[in-house]
Amino acid sequence: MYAMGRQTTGQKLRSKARTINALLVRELMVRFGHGNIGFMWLVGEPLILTIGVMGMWTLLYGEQKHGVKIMPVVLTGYSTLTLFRHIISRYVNCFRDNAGLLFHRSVRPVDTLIARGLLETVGVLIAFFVAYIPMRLLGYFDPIYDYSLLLSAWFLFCFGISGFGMIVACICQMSETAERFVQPMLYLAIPATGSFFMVAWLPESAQKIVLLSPLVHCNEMFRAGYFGPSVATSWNGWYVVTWALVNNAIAWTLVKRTQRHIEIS
Amino acid sequence: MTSSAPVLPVDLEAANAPIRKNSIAIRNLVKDYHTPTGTAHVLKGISFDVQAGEKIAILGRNGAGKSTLVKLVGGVERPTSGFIYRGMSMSWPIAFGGGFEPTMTGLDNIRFIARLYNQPIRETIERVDDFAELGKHLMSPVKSYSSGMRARLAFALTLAIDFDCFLIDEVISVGDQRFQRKSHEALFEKRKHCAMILISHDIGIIRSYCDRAVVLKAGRSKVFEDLDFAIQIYSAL
Amino acid sequence: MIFICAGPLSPNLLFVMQLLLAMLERVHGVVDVVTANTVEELRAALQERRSHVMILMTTCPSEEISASILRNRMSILLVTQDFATLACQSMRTTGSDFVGALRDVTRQVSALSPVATSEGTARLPIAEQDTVHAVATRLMLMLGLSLDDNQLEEACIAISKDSSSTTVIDAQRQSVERAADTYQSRDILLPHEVLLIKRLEESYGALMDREHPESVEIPTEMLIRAEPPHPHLEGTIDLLGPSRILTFGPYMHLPVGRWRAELLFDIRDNHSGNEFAMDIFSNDVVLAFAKTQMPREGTFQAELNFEITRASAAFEVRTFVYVGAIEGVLTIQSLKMVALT
Repeated sequence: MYAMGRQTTGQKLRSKARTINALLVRELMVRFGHGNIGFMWLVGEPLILTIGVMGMWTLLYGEQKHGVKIMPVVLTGYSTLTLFRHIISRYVNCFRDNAGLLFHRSVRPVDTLIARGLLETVGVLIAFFVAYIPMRLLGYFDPIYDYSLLLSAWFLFCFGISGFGMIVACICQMSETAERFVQPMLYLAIPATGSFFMVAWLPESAQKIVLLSPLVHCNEMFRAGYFGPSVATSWNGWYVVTWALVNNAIAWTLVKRTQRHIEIS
Repeated sequence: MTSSAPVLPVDLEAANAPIRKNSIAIRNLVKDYHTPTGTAHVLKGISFDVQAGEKIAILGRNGAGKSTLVKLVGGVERPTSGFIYRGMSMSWPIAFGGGFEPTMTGLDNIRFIARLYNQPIRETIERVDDFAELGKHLMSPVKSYSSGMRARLAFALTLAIDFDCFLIDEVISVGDQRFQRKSHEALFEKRKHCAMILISHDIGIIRSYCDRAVVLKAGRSKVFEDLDFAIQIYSAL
Repeated sequence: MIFICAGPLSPNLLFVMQLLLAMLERVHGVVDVVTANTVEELRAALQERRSHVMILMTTCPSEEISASILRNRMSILLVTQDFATLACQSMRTTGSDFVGALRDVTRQVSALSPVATSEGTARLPIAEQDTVHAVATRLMLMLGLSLDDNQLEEACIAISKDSSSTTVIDAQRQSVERAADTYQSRDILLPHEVLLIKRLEESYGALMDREHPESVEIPTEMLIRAEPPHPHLEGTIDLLGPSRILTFGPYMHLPVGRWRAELLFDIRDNHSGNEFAMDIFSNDVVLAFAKTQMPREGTFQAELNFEITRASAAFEVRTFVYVGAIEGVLTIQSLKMVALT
């Protein structure tokens, strides 16, 4: 199983997949354990929060704003924000939490990151649908317009954020002080995510500024998939793709160097 | 006494020995740690081999660098210089327990290891349960286990995987007499054909099972074919 | 009247004794000849004396008898010979091997040192090629004996059998017991043995000179390795091994007094650290001890002060490695004993 080299690429990929699968299930167990509602809690957590925020927003601002029902906007925005926050904060702690696992020859620090990322990607997406489906059945929500666009937006977004998260995790691994800036940064970044507004709501001058943020493009793309052409969205697919690829390219080179510095106490 | 001048490996014979295919070869391992008070040179050029089926003892006082060596050999940390050739599958240090997650149950921890090492889950659970004899406790989270139970589970997990080489630190003397006998049997009889790197203060075990010894002193090492000689030197360290 | 002949046991000493006896017999008739190294031996001999004239031979005087001789300001005649002969003589007499003989010579020299260096001691010049007659004449003058020419000639013939102009060495071969064997052994000494004797003679020979030497050099090959088969020290010592004794010996002797042992040694390849110890051991007692951490490499001198109370007690300079060692090489460069009194 561990003989030096001589593994085909196929074998290597399969064994990596096995490793990440094992780590994924472990992450699941660790976060949501046996004693609670089990793995349903994974989706329950974002759902409860989403419904709560949605309720509050509707109470404060009424059902429609700018010609769009507010709740789907909040749902989509909150989902992407949740993913953003979860991935960044959980990536930052990942190396430390999983340092002990490095004794297993097949586990590399980057595998633990991927496992966490996958968990969040799928989990928050499921939470989104768990909130959407009842609302749709009760007639409060319109049906999703374009699933393929919706899902490609989501996965592209997750891919990009994962890359960004990796970079942050590596920086925090190398420097202790950097870690303290992460939480404040997350809060300060909220306007830049475009989760709580749509670009169309803003004056043109503001729009130009806001469209510099790739996260805004992701949110707009996601909403475009949800609402369809009935709602004005502005996004550039290639901008998002470029951002995601560049992020991940930097992330992977950084992670390779950082892995050498990880030490078990 | 720290110095940055490159030092010849003490054991030139071990450092220059040819590397066989199915073996674990350690060559000129150097490990420095950067502490607030300066650089600590913990390992200063360790070399030795473990061939298939061979049992080698690592002898040294506490502070000689044994735990650092275990971490490097186990693959947890990278050496500052030198290399480790792994031609055989090697276990994690037995006492380590495979990365127990205390909030997970014993069963879930077993499942994790089984998945990670591509072993059938049901069979692995049976093997571990049979060896560790924890019964119902397997369904409780590991954090509720006593240290003895934890050690038994850790040991059982290590044995559940078919490693070519076992990295055994002090833990073999855990449990009651019956369990100890079981452990000895499991390691030294049923797995007689496996290689072992044994890090222990127990001279009796070392004399009974090991073929060679490496004595570690102040971060330097020397390989001995004569076990008694090595033990004499170690006793007088 | 007591004539004291002192010196390490040698054909020369035995020869002089015989010659002196022959000479004194011509003058005084019966003469007692006594060999005594201790006060008890002397006392016993004095009790049984038949005559008032006595020749006392002492080769390895105890501290008490030396003190007594010096206290009574008795006149002493010192007769010596080269160390090679002394060693061979010792081998014949004690039946020991070469090294044992060297030790025995140092024992005699150390014991004789206070007597040999005292002001009342006269050294008899005697060379192997001198004639018996010449030596007899010297003896007569140094001791103030009154023999006429005939008595002198007779005494010489009594010893040399042929004529009084026989060389000393020939006469010894004839009349001194086993002298011929001793000289034969001397001729077949191996080159390295000859070299060792020479070095020993340079340092120990001076102990019998009037000017007390400052130091005595012990040849390092007289030290013995602790590992079986216990060869003599040669070259380097590999420190690899458990804590243990490295060298012992040389089982040599020194005159009574305070001494400082200076051991010059160097260390190489000691990267993992080690502790080195050294002691002076004599008569089942540790006279001095020192222990030190060894650095990675370098040349060092260990100094130990100690006191010799009896010249007959052999001493050892022992070295130890105090902690298990996996590397390191020790080379002992020299061992010098410096006189402090």
